[in-house]
Amino acid sequence: MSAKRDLETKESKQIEQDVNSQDEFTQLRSLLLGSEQAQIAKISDRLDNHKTRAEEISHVLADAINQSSKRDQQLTESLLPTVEEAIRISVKKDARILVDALFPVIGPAIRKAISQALSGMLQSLNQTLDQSFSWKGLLWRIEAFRTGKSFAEVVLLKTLLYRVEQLFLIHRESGLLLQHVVADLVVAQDADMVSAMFTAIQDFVKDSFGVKEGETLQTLQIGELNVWVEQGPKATLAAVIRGDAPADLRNFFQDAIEMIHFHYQDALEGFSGDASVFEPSRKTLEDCLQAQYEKQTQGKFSPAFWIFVSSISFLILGWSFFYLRDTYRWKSYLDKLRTTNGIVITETGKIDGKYYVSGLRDPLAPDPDQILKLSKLNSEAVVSHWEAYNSLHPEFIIARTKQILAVPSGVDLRFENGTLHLTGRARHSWIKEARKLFRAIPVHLQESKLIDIDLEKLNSLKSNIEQESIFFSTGQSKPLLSESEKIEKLLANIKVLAKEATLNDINIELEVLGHSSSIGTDLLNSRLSQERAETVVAIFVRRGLEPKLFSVHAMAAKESDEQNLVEHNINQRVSFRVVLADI
Amino acid sequence: MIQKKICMLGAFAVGKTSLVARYVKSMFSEKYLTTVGVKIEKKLVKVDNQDVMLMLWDLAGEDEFNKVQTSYLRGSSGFILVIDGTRHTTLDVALNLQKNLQESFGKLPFILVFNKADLVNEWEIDPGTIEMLQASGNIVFRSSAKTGQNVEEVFLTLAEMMVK
Ligand SMILES: Nc1nc2c(ncn2[C@@H]2O[C@H](COP(=O)(O)OP(=O)(O)O)[C@@H](O)[C@H]2O)c(=O)[nH]1
Ligand SMILES: [Mg+2]
Repeated sequence: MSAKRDLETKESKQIEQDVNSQDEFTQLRSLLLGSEQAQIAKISDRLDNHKTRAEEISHVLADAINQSSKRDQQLTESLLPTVEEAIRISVKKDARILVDALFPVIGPAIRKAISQALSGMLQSLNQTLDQSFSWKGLLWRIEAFRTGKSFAEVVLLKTLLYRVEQLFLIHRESGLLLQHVVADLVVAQDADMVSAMFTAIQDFVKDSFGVKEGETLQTLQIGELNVWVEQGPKATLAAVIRGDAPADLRNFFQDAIEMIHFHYQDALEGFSGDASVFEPSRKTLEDCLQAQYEKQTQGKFSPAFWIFVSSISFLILGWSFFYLRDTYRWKSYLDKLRTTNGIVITETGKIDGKYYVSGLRDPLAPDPDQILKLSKLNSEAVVSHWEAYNSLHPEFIIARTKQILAVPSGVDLRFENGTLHLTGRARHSWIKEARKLFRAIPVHLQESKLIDIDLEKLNSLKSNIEQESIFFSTGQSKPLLSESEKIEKLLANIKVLAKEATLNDINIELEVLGHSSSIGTDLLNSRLSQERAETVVAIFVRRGLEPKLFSVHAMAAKESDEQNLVEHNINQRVSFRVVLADI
Repeated sequence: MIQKKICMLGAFAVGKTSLVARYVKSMFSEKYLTTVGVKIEKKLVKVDNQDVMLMLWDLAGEDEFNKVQTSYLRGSSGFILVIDGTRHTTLDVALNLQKNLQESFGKLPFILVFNKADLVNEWEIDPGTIEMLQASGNIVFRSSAKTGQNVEEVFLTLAEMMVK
């Protein structure tokens, strides 16, 4: 401590002494330290001079940035706001510069994005058009109509008939297999070989057709199988799909490959053949398989289902046909019954699956069973119940009257204003019998216009007979000879009359009236007329007629109905009167 | 299990395909070779008790008309450069290829295989050349796809070099 103090005092003393020898010291100093001094001056000049320093830093700047970037992100982060601001100002000042610079990059990027979107759209459109005119398309149209969905929607749903069968996650550089998942029931080939070959084919295509870096094979199609390729920077996802998958399935794979790159960035970067680190990615890939399965089962029905549906439809169709046919036949049968006179339906319906009809039926009406047969309905399926009744329909009144009276062919029946008219010609016996039965007929009967054939004949004979007179000579009781022909004719007529009367069960009485002129006494004339009548009866009886048919009446001259004969004195005769009894 | 991609390289008709065929005893993708320019075989080997699946890419021959498509070489962990001992030019081709490979892919394990050892009497390449190559640190084998000589050893050695 004291030594140091000694030294200081010594030094100060020496400075005082050296004041005079300043110049010498400077001289010495420049001799000893001249070059260092010049260097220091130069350094301070470098530090102070802006221009020099800038020039110097410009030489090391690139290297410094390079080193800093290699070390960490600090420089980038600190530069970021400045660069951003610079870009902002640049755009504000003159956007063209940046636009020109970015043009070669943005153009292809936009084109690529658009073409990808378009190709997806076209694929959907093509599928829609493809299906538009096919039989399947027709069914889908029906479904669209039925469910109220648009046709395109249905097509989209249906085109999900595909299966993602296998997924290969492939190391892009080496073609080595990182992960492989297979759908159930799919028989997979040697996956690592497929992976390598696939990569080789990719390379082949790339090399052979001069494809640009970063552009790769996106789809491979072999018959029903499609291989869709999603390329990541380090790994490739190849999906083997059976059938037609919708274009947007690609998004699904894109997501998967992006997710894998995100999670396995380091493993992919430093991959040296050990794929075990990618084992957890199996889940991601299996999700790709499974998601598509669900959609598939949603859209697709098994053949058994279709067979079932079509059989059911067929049954329903068949059943509807028979149901409608039977319903129609049943209705026509009922209509037929309703329009049939003498049948009244009181109740219809269905009992225990069978048709049921009940009502009233006139026994004379057509048989409902016969109508049923004509309707072609299965008679087993119809239950009928008929109560007998008498219909007052004219048709039935007439029919029933005919039945009761056993109306013969010459007789007509006509129902008018509540009265049943009988017209025509009939035998006397029938008329007589019918009259007894008139009371059984429930309506008023009118038979005045009915002609009794037998009575008509009897009356005709009667008038024939009654027209004739047999003449006598005056005072004689024997007919004139000239009358014999007349007598024969009368005899014949009386015989027919008698026979007809017997046949018709009619009693006849033949009054034989004897007449005389008014000349002479009444007693004589009366006796003469008596004798004359008796003579005629005797002739008839002698010729075979029964005596009891006749009655003799002595009319003399008084009771003659032919007064002019009396006056002309030609009343010597016998006339006849026929009396029909029990008509 | 570790997988490794190996590329068979060398001039035309040196025996690349024959060596692979001899080694894997399979004919899996023969038919693809001509169209795509590559045939791939695989073989499972054990290195230090660890399974290693070798994917062997057999490329169409290298000559002046048919350049190897470099994209096939990417991702390889090792190369087998085959030379036909009876033709000196095939050694030039192999060494040239090796140089190009190193420029493109950096230092990767490789083996120089002098094939057709069964025809040693007809060899154009003298033993001195081979010894010189060996001395300068190259792994060198004399093999024969015909007799099977050293075939297993070539692939197994490369497998070990790649795994370590
Ligand atoms: N003697 C003999 N011939 C061989 C051998 N290896 C290949 N060859 C023959 O050489 C020819 C070409 O072989 P190849 O394997 O196709 O050659 P690459 O073009 O390199 O694939 C064929 O005729 C082979 O039979 C070998 O070790 N010995
Ligand atoms: Mg070959």
